[in-house]
Amino acid sequence: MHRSAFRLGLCMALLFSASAAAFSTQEAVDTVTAKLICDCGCNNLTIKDCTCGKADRVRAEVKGRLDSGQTPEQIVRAYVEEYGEQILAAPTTQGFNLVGWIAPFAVLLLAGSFLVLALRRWARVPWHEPPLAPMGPGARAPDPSFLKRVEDEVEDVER
Amino acid sequence: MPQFGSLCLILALIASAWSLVASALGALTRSRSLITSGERSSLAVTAVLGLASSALCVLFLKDRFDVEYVASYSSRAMPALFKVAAFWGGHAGSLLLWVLVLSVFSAIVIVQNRHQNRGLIPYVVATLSGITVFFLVLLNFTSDPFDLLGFTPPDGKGLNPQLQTPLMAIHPPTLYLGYVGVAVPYAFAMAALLSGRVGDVWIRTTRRWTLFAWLFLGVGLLLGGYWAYIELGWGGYWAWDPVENAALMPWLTATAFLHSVMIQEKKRMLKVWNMSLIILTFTLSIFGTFLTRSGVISSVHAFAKSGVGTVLALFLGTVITFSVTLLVWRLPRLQSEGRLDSFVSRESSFLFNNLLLVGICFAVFWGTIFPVLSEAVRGVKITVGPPFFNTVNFPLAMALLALTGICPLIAWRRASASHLMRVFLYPASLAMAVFALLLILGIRELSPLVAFTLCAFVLGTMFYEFYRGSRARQRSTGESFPSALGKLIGKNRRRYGGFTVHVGVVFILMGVVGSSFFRQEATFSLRRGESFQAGRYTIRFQDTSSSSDAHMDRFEAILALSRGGQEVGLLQPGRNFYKSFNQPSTEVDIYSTLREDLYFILIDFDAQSGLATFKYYLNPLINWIWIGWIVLFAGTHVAVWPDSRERALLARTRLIEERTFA
Repeated sequence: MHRSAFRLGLCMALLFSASAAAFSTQEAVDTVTAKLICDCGCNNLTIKDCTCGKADRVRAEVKGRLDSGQTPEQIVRAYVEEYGEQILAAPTTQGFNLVGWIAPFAVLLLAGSFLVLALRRWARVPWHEPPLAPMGPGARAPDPSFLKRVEDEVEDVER
Repeated sequence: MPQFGSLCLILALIASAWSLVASALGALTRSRSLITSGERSSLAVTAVLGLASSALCVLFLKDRFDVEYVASYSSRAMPALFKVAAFWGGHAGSLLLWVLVLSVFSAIVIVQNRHQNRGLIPYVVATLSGITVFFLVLLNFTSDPFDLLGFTPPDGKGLNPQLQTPLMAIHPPTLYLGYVGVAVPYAFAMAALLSGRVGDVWIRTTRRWTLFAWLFLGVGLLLGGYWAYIELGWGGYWAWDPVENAALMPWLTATAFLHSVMIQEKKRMLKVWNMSLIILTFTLSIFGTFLTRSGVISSVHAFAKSGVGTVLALFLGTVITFSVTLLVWRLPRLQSEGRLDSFVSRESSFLFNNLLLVGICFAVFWGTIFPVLSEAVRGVKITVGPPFFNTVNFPLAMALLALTGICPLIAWRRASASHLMRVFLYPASLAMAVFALLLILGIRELSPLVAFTLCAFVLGTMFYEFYRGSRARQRSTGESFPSALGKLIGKNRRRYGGFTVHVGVVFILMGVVGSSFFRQEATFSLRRGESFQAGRYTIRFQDTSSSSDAHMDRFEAILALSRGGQEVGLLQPGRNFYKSFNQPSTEVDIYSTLREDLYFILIDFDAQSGLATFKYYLNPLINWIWIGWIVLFAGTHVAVWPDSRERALLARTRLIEERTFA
């Protein structure tokens, strides 16, 4: 009884670890294949997503390499050596490729700074409103609450 | 019949060239007869192109395989609907469709403006005719769809089976309505610059055209994405393919334009910027046509290299040079007449919205052309694929989403701190509540947390806006809430139509974030009678079925789907084998709910062992993308619906301009 319980426990543990290993391999396969582009011409998809036969083969190949103990980095590097940088789904973050990554943000930052400066300038430019008619004798400044109501109503209209 | 088609194309070229010359001369010399002649020739172009297109349709329907184009894209076995759709299945036919749509739009513009905008119209007709001439030159001299083979093959090659779906039949024309629709506001902008009438008449006149083009570009993108989703079998809908990007870019700049014109209408500012945006949008729509046809960038959508790339590049250069020169020439007339009341105002938030939209457009453009640039600089070919675009665009899209929420809360002219506090309170509280709920649900990844919180914030803002407006109206008129809400929308169609569009955009983003960050997938094999667990669903492989007809052999696996012990439906993923193409295609089956899609593909079936291999994707929230588009579509309709107040305003603006130029 004791022994059979032990055996069962061992089997469970083995099963569990095997499925855990299989799971992590699938994750690792996904991590690697998401970095590689499929050039089958079906669509602009990564090996992870592409449905063509070639992607199937590469996925199996990657799984084999992982099982044989290669690290994801080594596998990606091996593919780049074989097929060139073109196999990577996104440019590396080195050298000229860095320009590719940074330019969108740099341009946005630059344009944003210009915009902020322009807005500040526009908001400061004095507005040449037509002069108000001079207040006659005995006239008093309008009630602030009345002015606020006018402001609010204008705001409502312009909303 | 083919000769008749070719003749029509030549006649159309001559008539459009005359329309260009007559309208331009008429505008310069103010000769009424020349202007009328220009308009009439433009109408004649529409008629002749209508005849040419009908001729091509008849050739397709009659299986005239002696015509090269028909033989390349049609076959006897194809149903009539797809024979007609094969019209735009290739380069030459789609060019003909492009120019046909353009000529129909020109005709509508001419008829609509018989008695108005007379100072602008000759220039508008000249510009539209100029574009027509270019495309007709291309059709006549490089890509005539009526070219004959010199012999008659027994059957045509047929259209790719994956394209033989109703969605693909309408996807290209819808996109073209968008691409070509942009030409109308562009032509009005050029007319405004040429005539010096650079007030806001051209903007107000073309608002509906711009919205129309924007909507159809969007619907074109949607149809393409939906088609990819249900046909291609990879469980996704957008792959940042260069040609997808090419349609997205003008849509983004058109979105920016739709926002920034409001500032010109209200404050008479940003005239140069609005001109630049419409020039950019039109240029990008031509750039899209160029990308598809030049072979510069390889893409699933690209037509075979047809040698028209150089001509299109020349045209693109001409459009840019012509537009920018005009813009620079008229700079003195395009000075702002208004100013900003405050740094924190609706106006400035619109400008930041423009910055982000154009920024995303630039990021997409940059990613699309970077491989070409890299090869030129380093001599090394690289790929810029989905990971690049997703990484770069995500933060920008989030900033834009935040602005979508903030912008309507900030008052025009000037926002006070107390006003901001008051209006931010409810939406911000809702956003915080959703954030807490997401944490409780166990979501820890930063990107979806931020995205969903912002979605909640924007939805809160939008609903609060509807509520606040209706309540205010209710208080002053004593109406019931639904009636107040109805009248509020009816009387401010642009405003509330716009807000509805924003709600649609939030739904779309919810779907994109849900289906990108929480997608699950697995591949597994079953024998008949065996089951598999996919998320909360149990799938039992029941049986297979097969059938055959003249076009293809069909094979399907029948799966029973149950959730919580209850059977919820059958799934029948399969594989078709198209005889004429000698290739198999995956037939996806999807179980859809508002919460998620269970997306099933049959990968393989081994008849001997009876083992079937399946792949499934569980795509959370994906249906909100399609729902979002429906909401966006509805909102756009609210915004374009004719409005008597707006019409009166336009009439007044026109009158003022007429007096200025009298």
